[in-house]
Amino acid sequence: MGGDVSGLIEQKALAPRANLPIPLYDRIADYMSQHNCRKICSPFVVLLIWEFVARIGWVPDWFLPAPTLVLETLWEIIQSGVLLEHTCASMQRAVVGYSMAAVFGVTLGLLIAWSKLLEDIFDPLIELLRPLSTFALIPIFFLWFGIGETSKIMIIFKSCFFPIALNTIAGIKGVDSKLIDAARSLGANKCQIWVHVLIPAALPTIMTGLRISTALSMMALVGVEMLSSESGLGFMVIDAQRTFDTELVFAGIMVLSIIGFSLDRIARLVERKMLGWHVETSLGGA
Amino acid sequence: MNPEESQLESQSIIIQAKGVCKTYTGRKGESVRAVAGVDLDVAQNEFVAILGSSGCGKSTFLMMVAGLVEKTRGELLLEGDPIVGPDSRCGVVFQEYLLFPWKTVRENIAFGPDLRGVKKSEIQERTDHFIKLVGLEKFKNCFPHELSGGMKQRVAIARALANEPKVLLMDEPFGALDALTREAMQTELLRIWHETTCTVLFVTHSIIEAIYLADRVVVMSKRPGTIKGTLAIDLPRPRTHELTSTKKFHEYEKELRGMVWVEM
Repeated sequence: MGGDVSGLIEQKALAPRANLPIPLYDRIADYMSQHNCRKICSPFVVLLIWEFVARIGWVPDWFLPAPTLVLETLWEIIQSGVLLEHTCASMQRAVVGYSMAAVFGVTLGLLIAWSKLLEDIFDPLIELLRPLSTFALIPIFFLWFGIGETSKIMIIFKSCFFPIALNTIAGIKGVDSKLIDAARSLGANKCQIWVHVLIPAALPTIMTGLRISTALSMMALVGVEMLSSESGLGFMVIDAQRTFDTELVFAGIMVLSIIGFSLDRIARLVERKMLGWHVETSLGGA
Repeated sequence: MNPEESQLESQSIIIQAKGVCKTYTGRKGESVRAVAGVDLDVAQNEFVAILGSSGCGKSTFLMMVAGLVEKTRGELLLEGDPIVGPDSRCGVVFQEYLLFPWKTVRENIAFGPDLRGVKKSEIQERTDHFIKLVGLEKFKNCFPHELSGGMKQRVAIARALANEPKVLLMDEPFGALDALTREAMQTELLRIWHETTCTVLFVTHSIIEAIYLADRVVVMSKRPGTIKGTLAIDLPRPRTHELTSTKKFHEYEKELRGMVWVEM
């Protein structure tokens, strides 16, 4: 009896591990299955309608330029190096602000989850500052850090910091206390419980905070660059609007959208690589 | 002194509980008595089942023996030493398996010896041995979510045994399994027990499970839990499930049912 049962389970358990080479044709057919096909088609249909509406002259070019015109502008700024310059300026701010938020957010989150004293000190401060709009702090940051790079980085830092710190705290506090008991019964001391149980068990929640923050960093970045900047994608877009260069406005938005989408995909990929066990259990719907 | 007692006396006592009490403080500050004065002696290599309805405090008692819950009053000794916290001589198997989902079967089993600083080569050897003992050679590199309930509990048993404990504490270990898997696991547990020779304290609410597995069944009363009575099970070992339909088995069942129902 036992043999039959384990035999069945064995197949089920080992099936996903088999890495058989699948013929290229089958893979393409699989990818282009009805479901995926519709997903790929929908943006193209929207673009087609948009192109049509713009081309027949119902709306003027400065109001809604045709997608082909936008692509043309995009090609121009790629070739002239303008895009690269602005993208580099933007990404530099985003990366510095985000990394600082990640390091400080995770560290403070772990400390607060570890110590009741630190929790009592920082919890009210966090609760008061967290709901405050990042943009409400811009004037103060300009006063304190000037209108240079520092204030921009600090604004990105502020918008990313809280989701990262709060997810870290929630992750650690959400660990099943019975799991800690299991580790204790096996002989784990306090330090070993942190390293081997609390942090790995909280990692999915911490990673969610880090992923959400990539989108928030882009949001804060564009906002602050539109308010005061001489460079960056946010500046490029607002500057183009001031000179009625609508094609460039749309080209900039397109680039921002591609960057945001890619950052989210990269974050998901990292999540999947690091947390294979978690993705397969809870996100995979198994 | 009757012969049974003298036999117990001659074997060395490994767990000794004298008037063990546990009082919790409830949400509204009221005190809840979970366990009220349990006296119990467990001999070396004995298989003792604690039988009681849910919420009678039998799990709380087991967790006190494991050193995971502090007792309020009384004396609790392991080989003569007071129990003050988790001890390497006690291994615990929980109803909810509580495997570490980010560790493979192998890593889960190696975790205990690893924490205790056992040599790498010895960990390797011990892990292989216990994986083989519970029959999971083919699954040693799987993650817990890839396993069935019965297999997860096998890993949990191997994980507890990998620390080479003298006492195995089992808290309704098969409670979450379906009836058929449960029967298979009971036989498995007896086989593993015969091969490892350790003392087992097994909490259950199934009368049949208690008789089938144990040398002695201890019946606990409703909350606050005390010991209502004890029944020695004199059935030959190794036991098979055919035993459950013998006359002697039914007599034990009837007797225990009487003890449990008087209580209700």
